Amino acid sequence: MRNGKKPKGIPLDSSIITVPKPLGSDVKPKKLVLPLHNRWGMLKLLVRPGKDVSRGQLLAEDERGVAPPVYSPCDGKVLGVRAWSNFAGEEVPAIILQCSGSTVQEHAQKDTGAWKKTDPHTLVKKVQKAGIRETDAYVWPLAWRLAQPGLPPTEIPNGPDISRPIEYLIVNALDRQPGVTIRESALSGRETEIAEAISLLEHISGTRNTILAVRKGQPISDSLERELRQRGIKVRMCPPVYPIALEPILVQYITGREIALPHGDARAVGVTVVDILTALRVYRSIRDNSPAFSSPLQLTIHGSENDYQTWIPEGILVSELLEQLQFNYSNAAKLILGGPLLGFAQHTFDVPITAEVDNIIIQAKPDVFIYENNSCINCGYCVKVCPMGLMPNELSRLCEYENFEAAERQFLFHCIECGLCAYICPARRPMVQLMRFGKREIGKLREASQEQ
Amino acid sequence: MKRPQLHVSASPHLHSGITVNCIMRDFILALLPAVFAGWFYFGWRALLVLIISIAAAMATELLWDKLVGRPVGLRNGSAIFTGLVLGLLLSNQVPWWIPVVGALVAIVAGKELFGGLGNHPFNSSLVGWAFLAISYKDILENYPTPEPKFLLEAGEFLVDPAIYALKDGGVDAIIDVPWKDFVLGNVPGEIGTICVIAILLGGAYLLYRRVLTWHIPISFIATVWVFGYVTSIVDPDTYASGTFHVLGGWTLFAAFFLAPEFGTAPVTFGGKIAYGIGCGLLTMIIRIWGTYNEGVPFAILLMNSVTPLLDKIRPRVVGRVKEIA
Repeated sequence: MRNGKKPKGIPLDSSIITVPKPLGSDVKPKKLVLPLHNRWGMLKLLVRPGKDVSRGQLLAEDERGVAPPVYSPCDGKVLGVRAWSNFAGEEVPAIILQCSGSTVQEHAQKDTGAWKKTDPHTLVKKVQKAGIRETDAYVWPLAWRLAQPGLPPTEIPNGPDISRPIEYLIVNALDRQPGVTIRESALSGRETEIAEAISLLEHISGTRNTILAVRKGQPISDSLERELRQRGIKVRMCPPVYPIALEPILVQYITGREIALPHGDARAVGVTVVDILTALRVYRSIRDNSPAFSSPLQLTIHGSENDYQTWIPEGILVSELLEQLQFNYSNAAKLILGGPLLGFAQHTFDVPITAEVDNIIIQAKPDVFIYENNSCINCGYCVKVCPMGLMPNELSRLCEYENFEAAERQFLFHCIECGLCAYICPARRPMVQLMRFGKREIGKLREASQEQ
Repeated sequence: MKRPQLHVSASPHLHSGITVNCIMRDFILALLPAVFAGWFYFGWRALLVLIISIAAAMATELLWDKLVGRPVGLRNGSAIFTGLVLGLLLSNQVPWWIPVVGALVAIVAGKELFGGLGNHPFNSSLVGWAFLAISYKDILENYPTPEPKFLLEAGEFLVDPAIYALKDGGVDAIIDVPWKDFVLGNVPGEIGTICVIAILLGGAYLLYRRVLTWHIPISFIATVWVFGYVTSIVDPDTYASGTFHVLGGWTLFAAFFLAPEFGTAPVTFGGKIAYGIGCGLLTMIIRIWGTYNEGVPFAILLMNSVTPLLDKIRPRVVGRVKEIA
């Protein structure tokens, strides 16, 4: 295993790790909103509005067989399909579900270990059917990244290229961003479950090299260490620097392999990265033989000393969650889904929490950072900090003056939107916004030229 | 309950808190030891020159912004910095209108005509200084002997700034000057450039605060020293040593406060190093073989003009891999 060099970035301050407090009683949603669109495509609705559905019923699936399907997390009634704002602030069609029953499993199942005797191909099909969406923006859904060569989860023409065997399986237990601690707390207290989950992924992928990536200095309990050692899972300490946990940078740091961008397919270099939280959800789904309904969430509210950490049903609205906490709206000024540096600011509290969201932040007015439309002072701080070796100062100006071809030649599409340039920019320029603007405009230009 | 209006923006939703104001404040703080040294050796008149220069720079920027209908940019403190640096590059004997004219040229021709902070191709203070140096050579080159306020005796080995003495009198003219005088700044010269200790304090502060990276200052100073060292080994009777070239004249002041000015210096690793080396080489070439006494200002102005070229020395882009099957 070759070491990549230490990545650039800002320190993940371990002092801000808070003691999580549970949400209290189980979250019992009245209404769920399940988006029919995710980063891998559009899903086709399978139930008619007005119909009653039962817990675990298939509601929508991808006709191409790539994107993970959507299941009903509770007994209830389909109210209809409406355009709804998703976690990224895009208006997408979504199923509105009225819940009548609880979303939680009545009794946790005991692990029978049946999966150990099941062949990987069957398991990969199960993973595909489990409906797992993930926090990080991977190129392909989990099942495709885990599938062994020649054994795709679904038989489709022109699917993802999975001809290369998985040489490294990296289970990513690093928290992505400063202030997010959910993965670190997930590691403590459920040693066997974690170890089993990693073993399951190893079994499915057929790899020999499984690496658990944790933060340097993170306390790991003796029992977990023992469990991992018995199973031959290596633990790799990574420097506590943002953005080390992002896929291209993590793969380069741990394996020394470089993912070809802008496509960013790690599988093409023989590496698969799986989030530790996703691993847990996969394990529970296979163990209980049910789709993955709930996902873990950290809720950070301004002025409150501790963060909430809990598992919530997918599709619950932020407003409904806050209602259960008897949240006082008066000081809230910004709602961010997905963390302080990568997250999306929302225009409404009625936004569904899907598994893409691991962290919700509510900022008060004084905490809100306001960008300014200043000109670049060419200090070069962003060049110093960019983990992808880009020149954000130049890119941002090229996008600002709509010189998109030049921006593309300067590798605009290699930008992973980690946000470090905007974080550091003394002129408070909205760097990420300019990059996204450039990418989107180039996309439009391409579409237009294809139509001609 | 009534829900509040939400603020929406692109990510990230955090900021380091370092703004242009902070950077300019750090630059100005870093110059304070040099200001103190100027007062210590040249008295209150030195402070008067600085104050006139700063006031003129601020007034010019204010008027210009009003004139062209741009939001007043005084807030970010860059005018104070430009004025202060220009003042520190002058002798304390100049008449009051010299810093005014200099600041006017520095702000208007050096900065605002190009669109303000960050967009000017040449170091704004040096543009002002170069205008004065070419137009009013005799008025500018009137350097008094320093009169330390306390503790020190006036250094009397030199009557002209060290670099001038070297040009006129060769190595013999400066060989006897004790290093202590250079380090403490007890030699004739401009208000801000003579005291090595004060400048190094400011430079160390800038590096400590990470306002500057080491690349430009260190490569600049190292090049000057190596060049001087080599030439003095080749012919010690004609060429002064590398240490003299670093400590005497503007080298240190320029390495920390002139050469790395934002907008006029490259931003990439390779670019910064090449820029520093270029500044050092041109400085020494002008000092040794050129017609000007002090090579630093024109070396920097020349290197400023190739900055866009040096910025082509880019970092390696991650993920730029040939198509993997």
